[in-house]
Amino acid sequence: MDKFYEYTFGFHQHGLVASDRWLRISGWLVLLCACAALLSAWLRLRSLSRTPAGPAPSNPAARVAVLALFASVGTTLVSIWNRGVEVNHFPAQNMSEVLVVFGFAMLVAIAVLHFVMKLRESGQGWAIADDVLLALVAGSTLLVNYESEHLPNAQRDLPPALQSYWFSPHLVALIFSYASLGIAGLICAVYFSMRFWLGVFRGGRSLWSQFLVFGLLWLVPFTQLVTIPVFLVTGLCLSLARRKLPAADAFKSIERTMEQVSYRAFAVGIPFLTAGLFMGAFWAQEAWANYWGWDSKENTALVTWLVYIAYLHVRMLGGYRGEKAMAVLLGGALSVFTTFQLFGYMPDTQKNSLHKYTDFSLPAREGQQGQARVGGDEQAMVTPSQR
Amino acid sequence: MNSNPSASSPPAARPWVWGFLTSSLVITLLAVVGQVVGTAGEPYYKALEAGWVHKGWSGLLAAPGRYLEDPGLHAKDYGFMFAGLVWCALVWLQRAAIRRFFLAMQTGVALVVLCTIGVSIGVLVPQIGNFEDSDQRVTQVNRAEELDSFLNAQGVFLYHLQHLYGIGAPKRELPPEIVAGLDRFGQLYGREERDNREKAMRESFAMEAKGVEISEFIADHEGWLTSAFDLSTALSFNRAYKSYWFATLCLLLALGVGLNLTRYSPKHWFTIHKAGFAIVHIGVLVMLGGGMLTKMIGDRGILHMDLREGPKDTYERHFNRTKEARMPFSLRLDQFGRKDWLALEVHFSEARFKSRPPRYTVWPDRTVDLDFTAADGQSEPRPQLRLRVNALHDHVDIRLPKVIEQSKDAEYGLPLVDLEIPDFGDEHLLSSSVTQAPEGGRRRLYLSPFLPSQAVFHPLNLWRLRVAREQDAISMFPTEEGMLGVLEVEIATAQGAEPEVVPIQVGSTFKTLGGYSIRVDEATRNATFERDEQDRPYPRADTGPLDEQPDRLRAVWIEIQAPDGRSERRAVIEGLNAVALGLQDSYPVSAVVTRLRWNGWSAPGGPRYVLAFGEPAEGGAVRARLIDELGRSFPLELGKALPMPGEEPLVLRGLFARGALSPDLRVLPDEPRADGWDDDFYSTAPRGIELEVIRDPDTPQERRESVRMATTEENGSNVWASPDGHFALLFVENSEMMPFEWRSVLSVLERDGEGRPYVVDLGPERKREIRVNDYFEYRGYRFFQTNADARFPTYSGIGVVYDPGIPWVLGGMYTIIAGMVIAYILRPIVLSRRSQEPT
Repeated sequence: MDKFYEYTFGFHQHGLVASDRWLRISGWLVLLCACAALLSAWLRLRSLSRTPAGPAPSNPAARVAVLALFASVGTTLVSIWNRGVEVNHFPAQNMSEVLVVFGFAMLVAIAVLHFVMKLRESGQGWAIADDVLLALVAGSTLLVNYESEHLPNAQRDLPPALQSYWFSPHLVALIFSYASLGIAGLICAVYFSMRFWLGVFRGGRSLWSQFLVFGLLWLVPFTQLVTIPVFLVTGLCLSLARRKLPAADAFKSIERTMEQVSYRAFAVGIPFLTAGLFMGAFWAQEAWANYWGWDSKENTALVTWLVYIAYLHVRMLGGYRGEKAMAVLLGGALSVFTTFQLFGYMPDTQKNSLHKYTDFSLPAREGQQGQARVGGDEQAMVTPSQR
Repeated sequence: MNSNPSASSPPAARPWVWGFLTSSLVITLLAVVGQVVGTAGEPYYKALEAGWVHKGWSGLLAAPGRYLEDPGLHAKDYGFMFAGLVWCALVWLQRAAIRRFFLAMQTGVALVVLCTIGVSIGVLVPQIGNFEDSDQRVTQVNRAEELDSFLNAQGVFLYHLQHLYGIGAPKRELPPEIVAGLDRFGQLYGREERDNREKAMRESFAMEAKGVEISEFIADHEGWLTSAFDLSTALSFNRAYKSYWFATLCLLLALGVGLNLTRYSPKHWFTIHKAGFAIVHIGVLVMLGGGMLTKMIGDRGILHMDLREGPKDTYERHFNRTKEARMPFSLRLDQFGRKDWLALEVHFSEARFKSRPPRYTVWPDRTVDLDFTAADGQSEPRPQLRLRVNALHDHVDIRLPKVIEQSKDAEYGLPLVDLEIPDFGDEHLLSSSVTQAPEGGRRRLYLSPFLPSQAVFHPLNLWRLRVAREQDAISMFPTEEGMLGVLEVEIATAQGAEPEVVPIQVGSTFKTLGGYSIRVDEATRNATFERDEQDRPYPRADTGPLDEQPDRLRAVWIEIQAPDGRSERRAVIEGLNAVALGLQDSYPVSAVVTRLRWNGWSAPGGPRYVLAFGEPAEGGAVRARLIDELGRSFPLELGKALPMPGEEPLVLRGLFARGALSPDLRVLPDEPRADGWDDDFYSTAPRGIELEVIRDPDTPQERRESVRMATTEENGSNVWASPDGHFALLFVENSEMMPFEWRSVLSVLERDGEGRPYVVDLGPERKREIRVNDYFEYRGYRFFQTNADARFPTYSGIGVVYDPGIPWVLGGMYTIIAGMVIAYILRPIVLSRRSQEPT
């Protein structure tokens, strides 16, 4: 907690480099955004029964939340810019830098969704959902930025393969897609949590389906960092509003729209995911004349793309809606998380993945394959073991 | 009579509806069949491959004929032909049903899902070494090595699965003395450096214990993990992407996509609603087709080129020395260059850290703030030193340094000794930061007692000399004989950890992080290489007494004992970085990384002398004397030889109480050729830096000094010491990390009608130059810069790719991107505008 407090409110500390300072300011703004959004949601909830149908009226907390969102986008961009100056290249070479860019992408993605979807124009209930989504994404961004500060971020020189004009578009496209698809996954987590708790408070759901949802949210490895807080917060909100819960039909409408919103988030992210994935191939072709090396990072990204292609097909051709479609989308989010954060633990990655440039333990090696082969006595130095 | 006509006719059969499960089962079955047929028919495929690789389409057409030249067709050949014909007949007869199968949505989704699973298998099962070579298998020869890799990979994965978010994983706190050292480190090198070091140390401390737990986990589960490895091998899971079952899945996917595309007429597809998706499907088909070409006709390898050698036309296929392929032309390496990043190290004289100081990569306008101390009355520390890079130069010329005696009032000045010595050649003037320059068959050295690490050694061990202040002179002699230097030890599992630096002598024994025990058995100053019965080189120690051996190549032999019982006897050669050379993984105890820093002064060797530099007497003249190991003192005079052994004397030429020494560096201008070719990159001239050293920046007491340095030890051009001795700068080409870049210029040679080689005119060097992100293409072959080796500056590893599938694959990928953009960006905009148009 001390470290979190120091991170969030310690942007005035001496000795911070410019990028860290701006990132901490951004963290403060993101926290403000999250708190203001939650406050707005609470104010709207209190006046839910008194608000007439039609576009939801704004309130000061909502306006503060949006202002803080834009300010944090700006300050994060300044932080990234400064980091680029400090390291003399596009700042996405280690995981710390990539996480900052990811946090920025999440803020941009939620800003786009907020203004494109215009949920508040559908009514007060939708405005509440919009506020809660904003708070969740802002909170996630704060945690992501906090985590980035705890990873090593010493300046490292770009290896020759990374000195390419593909570096920034490839990274930016992929990270933006991860952010957008991650938001879609977040909505799915809220969706399933909501169905579970409604089953608890209202009944009407089979034990098997409750058990399945509970297992999905609690037991899938590595996702608990997101699913459990969402599960608990959703339960708390619904519990507090238990007496004011709308009718079952209204919730069906809410679920349908959540499914549509998650689809829109997916629709924003999928072209960037596609472009980012294949830009990597174009880059690899230029660097090593090998458009696809079956590296584990490439493979996990391909798996992610294929999962979303499957989602596309079941939704558009199979007519999947509701929990079936959301389950596939949640699977895609898990795949995104695996590609982004977990690929380093995958068995095939333990052999030398070329994408471990972000790993500080990567030894300095000349070339990508094999050892030098020269004639004569100079080969004496190439000796695998010594007496 | 039955009045109900329908009662007499049987009900119409309902057509079979493919579900996800049934589709998946069929596809899986087909993949298994594909694997079986592919394995059985592999000889035919290999015969075709041998025929057409490098021979293009004519080779492909002629390949079956070459196969048939083998006397007689065997029974299995007939069997295959018969089975193939039966299969084709079945497919033709059931074409409608097959079409219906592939047109079912469930089949399409099942195909995508199974392809996803297929790709995932390759992630969850570590692929065998060099799996890109389709001949590569797990055999008796490599099984142990592959099993070891498999166990380690799965062990790490499963261990982390059991310890999500690090819960239950061992954690270790940093000892207080290390934290104190870090704080002091942060005071000098800044908060960010300190924090990064701390993060790396915490990780390494945790990794040390984690590594032991992972090893124990693997040992506890070795039985079933080995069974899993054998199963993976049997099912070709550990060479998934070269397996026939994977190729079958891709083929089925292509078939499904193709059939679905032809389901309707093009008029149906190219509407705003469907165009994007149709284009994506077309792109997938083109991409898969290109991939098939790559698999069937493509070839990859490496060409080992050297500036000293002639043209070559043969490369190693799949980086396998036993498999060679020949190109229809030759390549010659005309130029090769390799450049490292330029970096600065800052050494503070009062601080002695176990780990090396940070290396700051330099670029124009980079600023580094250092030495943070809270001055009196200030609550916050501020930097007392700032370095600002003004310029970098590709060429500098090193001239004889200028030395001037500064006045007493001058702000800067270093005590300096000007010595004239025989020119033994560079290799015998050891120890860095010795300013020197050739002068008429002899050399001038400039040594300072403020830099006691400087030392001069006679190549035949007749003497060793250092310079020190009078009050420090006696302490220069080592109190303990036989200290060879230090061994730097890193444990590879402790990622990012700073190395332990351990003083050693023959017989030293110590324990490292991770519980490894190391004993120094033997040492030599004159290691040589001999060959064993398998013609492999190995180092040998000089058998003579250590102090009489010539100083050529220093090495120690150590015995390493791992906590799990493994042991290794290893030669550690000074200057040999086993990690950078790719040798580390071949060591039995590869987790232990060792580097030797020999201390020529403290190690056994020739007699030691210290030139004691005294305080100036009244009237300003500096006094000096020579002290030997027996404590005898000899007064020195300018212009006279030092009383040291050897026929060629050292002569004292100057003593400066406050000398200002400035290496004379001249920046050579860039002079590109008339055609624009600038071969700066290929030049071996030292590179230079212009730096501003700012003391007390942003204060009224700010002082600035311009410094020029070069990447050569000549004249100490790579070192600059502050006049007050507080710190020194070292300017280096950082060869310890990945280089900045390496490039080659190639020429292509063909043969004329009479078989004589001639150089093909492909334009100026710019057009024939290759870099890591810029390859060179000729007659369908692509050549890219892949390897270099710091030990062999004339060597260049050129990657070779022959792959007609590349344009198709890339074209397919671009098409897919275009389709996605149309479907998800253009389509919503168009539909939105249409909905707003008045009807």
